[in-house]
Amino acid sequence: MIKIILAALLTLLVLTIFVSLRIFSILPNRQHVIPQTQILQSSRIVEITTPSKSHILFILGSGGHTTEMFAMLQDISPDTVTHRTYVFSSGDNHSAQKAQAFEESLVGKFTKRNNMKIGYRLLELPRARRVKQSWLTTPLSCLICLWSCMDVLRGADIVRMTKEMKSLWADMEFPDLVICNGPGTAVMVVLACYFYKFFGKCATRVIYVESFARVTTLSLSGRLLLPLANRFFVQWPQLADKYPGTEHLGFLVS
Amino acid sequence: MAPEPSQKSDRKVFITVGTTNFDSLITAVLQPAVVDLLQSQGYTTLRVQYGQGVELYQSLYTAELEGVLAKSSMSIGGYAYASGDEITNEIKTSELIISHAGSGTILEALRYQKRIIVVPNESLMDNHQKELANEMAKLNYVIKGSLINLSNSITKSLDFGYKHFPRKGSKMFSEVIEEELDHVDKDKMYG
Repeated sequence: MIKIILAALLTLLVLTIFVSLRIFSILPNRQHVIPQTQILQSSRIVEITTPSKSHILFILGSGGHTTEMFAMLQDISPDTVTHRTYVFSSGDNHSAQKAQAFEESLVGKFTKRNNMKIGYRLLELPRARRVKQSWLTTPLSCLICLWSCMDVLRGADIVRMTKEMKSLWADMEFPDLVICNGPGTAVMVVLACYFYKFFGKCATRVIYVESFARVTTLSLSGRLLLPLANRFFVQWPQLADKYPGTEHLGFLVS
Repeated sequence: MAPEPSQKSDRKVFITVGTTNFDSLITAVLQPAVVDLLQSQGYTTLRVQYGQGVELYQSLYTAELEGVLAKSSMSIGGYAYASGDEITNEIKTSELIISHAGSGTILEALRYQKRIIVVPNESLMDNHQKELANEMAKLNYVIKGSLINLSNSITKSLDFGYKHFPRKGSKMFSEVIEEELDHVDKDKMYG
């Protein structure tokens, strides 16, 4: 009897070690923040080697977050980001409309006709917690939200696309980058992302940008995502001094 | 919404509370003395986005205020809310903006290089807005006003050396994205 318990404990221990090591290996290492001059230099090299296909997932949030997101994306070229997915919280029509307006603004900017045909995905996510929702039911709604996030990441909606669209999105299900700037939904999407990273399904990198409105303290989403984001930007120098591992390049929303 | 005045010499002041409840700002601006000051500075139109404060807005339209407005036939118009595009247009066509400390309005006003007086709502629970207003005022991007002496801020705004707000953020962010996509590509190859 003791032998069985010991064996079980040992298995559990090995499993824990394995899981911790795996988590440790996928967590971002941001200890050495690259000085700005080097960033500018390396980006010059990037222009030559930028991959022909790339997929970015943009997480939209309530009013202010969405406005800031699209302010930051003003200069993005649709040829750099061929596949674009936007997620918004259920009922947030404002964000959905902003995403559509942004996509319309991109139409004239394609240099390759093929990229224009790819289109974009605009997906609704259930809320992790609705305003005034009871804390008793919150774990359940969080789970439902997480499940939907996983569906978005693995591209569950792609099977319902037309045949032509399906071929354009084939092998592009998992985003290369997730870009978020604060809404609570972002935490769920990034968690789902780490689930797939754990099993080696994707190499998605996470960029987090703290809101321009945050001058001296990080938001709750920011604090939760600080250890999980590959790049963490703050828009005020005070924050960069206070939280090691964050980067400050200036007002990214300007 | 009141019809858009079309004369060229129209000089507009836009007062906005966003989606917040900030009746005290509406009250502070629509004091006869304050309106008189704005008038003496040559402004011809007041546009008030008052949010939930419709009754207050109407109650502030007193005979005294009407008398002040009549002096130079200054026009005044108010509405509860407007869409983002309408607000953008309002900001574009205004000369001076008196606003709550919402980051969206501040950024929009600075994007069009407008003179802005930011009045933080002291009754809000979180003080981020106040922090933002303080920092932006320290850098001379905005004037931070208070409800008690709004007239001072309005006088100050006339010849205040507003600093030019940088406009290269989205370019820097595009560079970050390109750099990260390159990183992902390498991760795929070696990882």
